[in-house]
Order: sequence, then C-alpha cells, then structure tokens
Amino acid sequence: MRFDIDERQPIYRQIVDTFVRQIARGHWPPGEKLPSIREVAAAARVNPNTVARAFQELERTGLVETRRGEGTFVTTAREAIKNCREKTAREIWVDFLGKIRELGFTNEEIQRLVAELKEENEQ
Amino acid sequence: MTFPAVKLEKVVKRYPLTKALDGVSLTVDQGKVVGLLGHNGSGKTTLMKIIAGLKNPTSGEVRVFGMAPGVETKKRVAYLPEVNTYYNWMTIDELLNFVKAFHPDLNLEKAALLKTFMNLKGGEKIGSLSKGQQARLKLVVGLSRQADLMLLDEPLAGIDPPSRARVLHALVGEFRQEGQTILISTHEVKEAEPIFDHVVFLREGRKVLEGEAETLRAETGHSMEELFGEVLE
Repeated sequence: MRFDIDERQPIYRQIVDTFVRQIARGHWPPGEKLPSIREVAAAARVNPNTVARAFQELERTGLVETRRGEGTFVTTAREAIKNCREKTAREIWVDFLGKIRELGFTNEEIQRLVAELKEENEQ
Repeated sequence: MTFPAVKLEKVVKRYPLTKALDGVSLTVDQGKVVGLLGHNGSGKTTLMKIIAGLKNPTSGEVRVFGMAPGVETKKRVAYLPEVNTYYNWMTIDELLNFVKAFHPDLNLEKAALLKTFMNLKGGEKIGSLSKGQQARLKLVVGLSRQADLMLLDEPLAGIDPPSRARVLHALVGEFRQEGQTILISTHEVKEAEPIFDHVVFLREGRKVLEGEAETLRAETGHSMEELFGEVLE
C-alpha cells in the first residue's frame, strides 16, 4: 500500500480517490476486506482521524460497507463498482478535454490526435 | 454534556516588558490533534504552561475539560516541556518509577513498549544519553501516562530528521490513548502537518489564523507549511 500525499490538497480526499481508483480497476475485488484505518494511517503517515473521515466518505458512495467489529469491505454490488468506474473515467475525460480545449483544439483535431496516439501505442 | 478539552477566552499574559499573549481565544475539541504553530517567542510555550496550570494568565479565562486549571485538571493533563528536567544520575527505569510515584497513571507496560520503539535501554544513565536520546526519553515518559490531554512543547527538537515522521506517527497512531486530545507546538511544520486535525498559527502573542487543516487546504490550495510561511513571515 503506497500513498503519495500532496499536502496542498485535502488529505482525506486523496485517500478516497486512491481507493476509488483501486476498487474501480479491481485491485480490491467485490467483497474483499480493506486494510484497517490504523494500517492505512500508518502507510500514508497521516492522522487516523483523517483516514476515518475518508472511510466514511467511501461508505457514503456505496463502494464499501463497514461491518461492526469486522472491518470495511468492498461492496458486492457489482453495479455500484461499474458505475463508479464509469464515473471516474468520465471525470478523467472531462479534465482532459478541458485542458486540451484550452489549447484551442477542435473536436476533429482531438479525434485525430487520439487515433494517432492509439496507433503509436499499439506499435 | 461534554466540555471542550481546552477553552480560552481573551487570554492575556503580560510580563514587565512584553506581552507574551495578547488576547488569545481558542477552543480545542476532545479527541483532536492540534498543531500550535509559530516561531520562537510567539507565545506557544506560555500558552501551554497556562493550559497545564503552571502559569496564571494576567487576564482572560481558561477552562480545561470545563474546569479552571488546578489539582483536578492536572490529573488529566500531561505536559512535556521542551527543556529537559530529569536528574542525570538516574537510570531510565529509575526515572520511570520516580515519575510513577507522582503520576500513578503512568503505565509501565506501555513505557516498556515505548522504550523498545525509541531504542532506549532501561539500565542506561540519563546523564550518558545523547541529546536525541533525551528527547526520545521525554516522549517515553509523557506517552506512558494515561492522560486525556497531552501537551507536547516542541517534541521534535533534538530528534534527528529521518526519524521525525516515524515518531510523530507513533504519537497519533499506535501509542495514542483512545480519545486522547493532543496539542503539539512546533515550528517544524513539514514533518508534522499530516497528523494535525486542526492548526493554530501564533505570532507575537496573537492568533493570526486557525482552522481545520483539511478545510484550509481546500480553501487555499496551500499546505500548512506554505501557510506557515505566508502568515508568519
């Protein structure tokens, strides 16, 4: 477990985002137990209160559930994970499109660029 | 009703030539880790001593768990001064037993774990310890007490930079008593900032900025270290 924390942004948010991405790509499969608050706090070297807040936020998204005395588990509702994966991908696209449009790229140029990059990538 | 761990109302501490504190109001909620940040001479130590009941304010009101500082609050508060106050002729274990005579809440089992963590041997004489080892010993003594409020004045002073993050994490993590409130004064913000729930910036005896660390990050896009530079330089 590794966390790169940027102290200029809310730390709990970065922990939430890390787990969301990891759950979306199946690093933590449905039903899997997540590390404890203390373990995450130790790995990220942050206050356990901050991790507790991140876990509450994750629970609110429906991606994880906490069972009293047992720990926090990834949801078994595959639909929720699929939606989250989609949502995360969309956020990445919106961010990318914003930046690339700022450079004055048109939709056609963007499509051409994506096709070119895809080709280069496959070679 | 639960009281805040600390509540200060317009606290002033005047010395013949200076004002160490110039009207500080502050509330510290129970269970929080609070950073008291400021340069040397900003009033951090005076503030801690007033909360610990070792100094009286010139004016203003101080409440610790809802009570005026005194015998009752001292049972619940552990204050670790920056300076070393131990006898050089004692060994580490002798010191722990000595402190336990004054503070029955000192937990010797926890002290044993902390000694191992800090790489200290019980039979060593305090006078023969290095500055860094003395700084670690101070933390062993303080953290072994079952205090509801822990006041740590510059706990990183004397601790070598590579171990600081590890020591700080032990403070708020594995060695922290459930629900304990911790007030840490420091000017080494970089290493300490990920452990703070709340920060208070002091300058020349006045509070210049305070807030939840996460809220300040979201609102300003700055780390606590950057804010320290901005509001205190």
